[in-house]
Amino acid sequence: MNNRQRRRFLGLGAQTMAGAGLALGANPLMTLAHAQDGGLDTGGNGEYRALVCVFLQGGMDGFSLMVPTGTAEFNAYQRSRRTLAVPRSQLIDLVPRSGAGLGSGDSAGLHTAASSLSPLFNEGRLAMIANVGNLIEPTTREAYEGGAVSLPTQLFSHSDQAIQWQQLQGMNRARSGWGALAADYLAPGQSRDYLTSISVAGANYWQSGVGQRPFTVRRSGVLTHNGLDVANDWQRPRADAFDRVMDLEKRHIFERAYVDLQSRARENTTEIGALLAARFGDSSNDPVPHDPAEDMLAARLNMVAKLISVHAELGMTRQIFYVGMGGFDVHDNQNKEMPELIGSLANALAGFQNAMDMYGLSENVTSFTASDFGRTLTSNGDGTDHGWGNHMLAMGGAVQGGEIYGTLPVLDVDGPDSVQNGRVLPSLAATQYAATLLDWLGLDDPRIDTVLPTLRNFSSRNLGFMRT
Amino acid sequence: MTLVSRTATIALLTATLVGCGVGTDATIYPVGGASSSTVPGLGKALPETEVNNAIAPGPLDRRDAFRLVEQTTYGPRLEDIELAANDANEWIDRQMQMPVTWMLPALRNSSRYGEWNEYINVWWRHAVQADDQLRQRMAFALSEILVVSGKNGLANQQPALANVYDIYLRNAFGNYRTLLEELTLSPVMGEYLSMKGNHKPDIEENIRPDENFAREVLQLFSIGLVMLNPDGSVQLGNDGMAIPSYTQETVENFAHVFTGWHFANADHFRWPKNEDYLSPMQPWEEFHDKGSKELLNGFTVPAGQSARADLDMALDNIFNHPNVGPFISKQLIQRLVTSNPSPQYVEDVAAVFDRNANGERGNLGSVVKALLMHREAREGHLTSPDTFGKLKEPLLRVTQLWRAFEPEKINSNFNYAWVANELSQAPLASPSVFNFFRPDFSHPGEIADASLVSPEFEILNESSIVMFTNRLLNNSIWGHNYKADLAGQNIAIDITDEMQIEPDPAALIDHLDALLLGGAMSDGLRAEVETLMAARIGSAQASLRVTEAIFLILSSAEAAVQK
Repeated sequence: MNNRQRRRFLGLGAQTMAGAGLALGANPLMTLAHAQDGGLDTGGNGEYRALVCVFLQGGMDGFSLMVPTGTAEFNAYQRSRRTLAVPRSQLIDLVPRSGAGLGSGDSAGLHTAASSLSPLFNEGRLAMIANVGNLIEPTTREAYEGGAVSLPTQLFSHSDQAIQWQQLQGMNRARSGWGALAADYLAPGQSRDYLTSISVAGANYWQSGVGQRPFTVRRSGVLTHNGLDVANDWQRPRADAFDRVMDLEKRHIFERAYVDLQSRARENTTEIGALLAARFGDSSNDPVPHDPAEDMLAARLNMVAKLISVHAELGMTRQIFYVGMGGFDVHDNQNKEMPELIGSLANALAGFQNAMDMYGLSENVTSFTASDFGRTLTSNGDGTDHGWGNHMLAMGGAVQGGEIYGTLPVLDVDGPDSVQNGRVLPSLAATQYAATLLDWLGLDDPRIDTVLPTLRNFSSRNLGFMRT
Repeated sequence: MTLVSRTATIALLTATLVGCGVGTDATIYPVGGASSSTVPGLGKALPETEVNNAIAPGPLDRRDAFRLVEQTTYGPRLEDIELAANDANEWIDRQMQMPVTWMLPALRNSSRYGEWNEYINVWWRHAVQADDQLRQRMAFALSEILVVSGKNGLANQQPALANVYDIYLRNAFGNYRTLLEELTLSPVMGEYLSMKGNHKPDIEENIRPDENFAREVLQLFSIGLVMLNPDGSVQLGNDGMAIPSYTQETVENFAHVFTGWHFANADHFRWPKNEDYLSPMQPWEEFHDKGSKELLNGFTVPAGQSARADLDMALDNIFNHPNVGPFISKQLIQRLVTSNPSPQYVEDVAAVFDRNANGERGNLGSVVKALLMHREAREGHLTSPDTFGKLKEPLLRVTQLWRAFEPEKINSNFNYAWVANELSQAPLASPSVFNFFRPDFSHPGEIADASLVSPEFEILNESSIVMFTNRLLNNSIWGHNYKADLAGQNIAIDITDEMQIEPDPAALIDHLDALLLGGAMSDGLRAEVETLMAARIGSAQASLRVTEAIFLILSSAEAAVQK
């Protein structure tokens, strides 16, 4: 094995997963004897499971996406949001399958801009998870105001809250995201450990850690190096020189990291690119329809769908994907921008779910949203500010959909769920939300406790929105 | 080694600005902006550097001169290396005294004025050709710290964006307090972080002032989230946790300060029809909150003041916070010199920010000189050879190529305005106010294991590295002046000099080593360049041998890292 091959097989996990490479046979496509270890399920039975994290950058206003429709609750919302309140006429009633009554205190409506999601809710493949947020331990308004509770650091700061949501390692920034820590367990069971975590939105904290970092693919496709084809007689001298220069001993730590990335790209993109080209040809076969210039999220999910479609050829039984969508920091022009953002989000998600249905992978792929924070109940005139608790979506055939999990908060600036001038106190913790997803992905309780160290602070470790 | 003909042109690069074809006339600027009096006049004596641990004056060897030029320009040229080798202080002074190459007049003079994102093409031209390279680098660095972006609907306000870029240029060696104020009152920033049109509370309507600018001016533009020691390290409380530098209440109080501003001479505060994106915003007292506001360090703005008086006090309050020196100095060091400066380096530079030789606080000219003259900037490669320096961001790698092989004239059709789609960055086009990359980003793996940061790695990944490498191939092997069929929209690198040396491969490699790597090329890379050039003997044109060598060198990790 030369340096390049070693790097390819061990990847970043060389230190923490020293045994990973040993399980690989000569044929990377062969089915492997997967790691089966107590309750950890990395897909040794051949069943595929993937999580898709849809990160809504800037702090998505969940209180425009899903609005309480009980009379008193809706009135409180209107009193808070005033001109920014979504009108009742622009809400599609969500009728929970468990039968909670319309018009009761826990009934809600979905913004009409998200109408493409309402069939998924009705069919039971979309769940709403109400008022989730970044918490260290259960937190009441009294405890918050009295300082009697551990709180996440730098609440209301974009960067800190986005990173903490993606890491969930307690009060501060840590080395690893919860996706990366889960992937540490799952990667050794995969033919290509470096494809366990794939990002179609560049660097992120969810998939980055001590043992993992994402393999990054562009939304438009897998790129390969031009003019550096070793199989081409004319290009070969250049390609050989380029490859040998990569293999030179490097003293500087940044040079080694640079070459490591270049090498990962050089070795791996050709294979994946060829697989995708063979299956999809040109863009007319895109599984998730989108306008490449306009629909950023749909374009990214389109690429995720393509990559998922070749999971078997790549020998993958567990994968986590990261995509992002920007623009949610609506300090301004909220009434114009939020419906557009919600529409793009909903159409992209619905398009992606349709692609999964088409592949017969609906039960195997679960998508979920996350975001920096929710937004304030107050208005600044034409927008909202940084809040805390927020509503989330989980989608897929394995989701116990058609339900609203958790409790709708009282959307009153002076109410019991509001702190700090209209920032909503979360009633569910992001760590509980994550634990529910990781349980489905195949991690057992001891490993989930390792990945999510604050989970034990909460009485319920599973929010019940995934089928088991 | 053979010196090439370009070197001969350097001698006259002195008092007059010649032949660069870009607008430099400061008298047609500013447009409604603040005074340009902070721009040092050509020939004005600059103070000796006042930084502790500065290097002694004297000549630099070629490698050290190359390093200084990499830190202070958009890419070394042989004549610059030669000039810088005389003395670092002299080189910096010379750079700081160059007349300013403004963006707005150049944009208006562009033959493609009005085309999509043409200001980015103007930026490329200036990066490659302007003589005031250090000022241009500083402006770009500042634009990555005090971020405003054309994303979010401002992309069609190109003159306004160019005008903002001129604020960075004007204040690059001026005072940080002036820079902060000009940016605060820029209607472009007002739009970007929604201070424009922000108004006092209306409790009845449940309206509170917008916290956007208030939060980010503190978090990103001035003091940061946590209390810093003078050396830039984080102050920890008794509980071992970082001490926050402000609270949510502080943000809300600043949000009240920043109320009552809108377009200059706007006809209506809520829905103005006349939008002046060039002049500073103006106050509307009836929309300004007149209450008292508690700001940083226990300072309270008294009730009843005008919007302007509140703003002045608030910006002074921010400016005088002890975090500003280390917070801004460290990031400027990261943008120009090294990702991981030592605490001592940060402390020494921050001390100059706090008080320069003239007793002035916040003089950015003094700060940039201090951070370049500091021993660590000049000798860090000796004391920390494995970690000193930084990954070059993609824009700087492209400009390095174009400056090293600078054509006499850039084609008037030149268009690389779409660079952000390809290289993950473009001037004034950050995806958010958090810049393309964060100063504390740490690439997972060996870098994070060593507790180092590597900001530029945040936009380097398996796909962007391929995009960049392909771009480099395009612009070297397929983009030089010996190719007849070159598309006019690109910059064709000029390899005339290299073609003269090409018959002697060893001399050519020496020359490229000096020009592109400062003479630090590894033996291994040299051997591969030789092998590749030899493989092309007989079967290819000389221009291919030259450009194969250029591509192989510039695509290497050695060229990717400034060290």
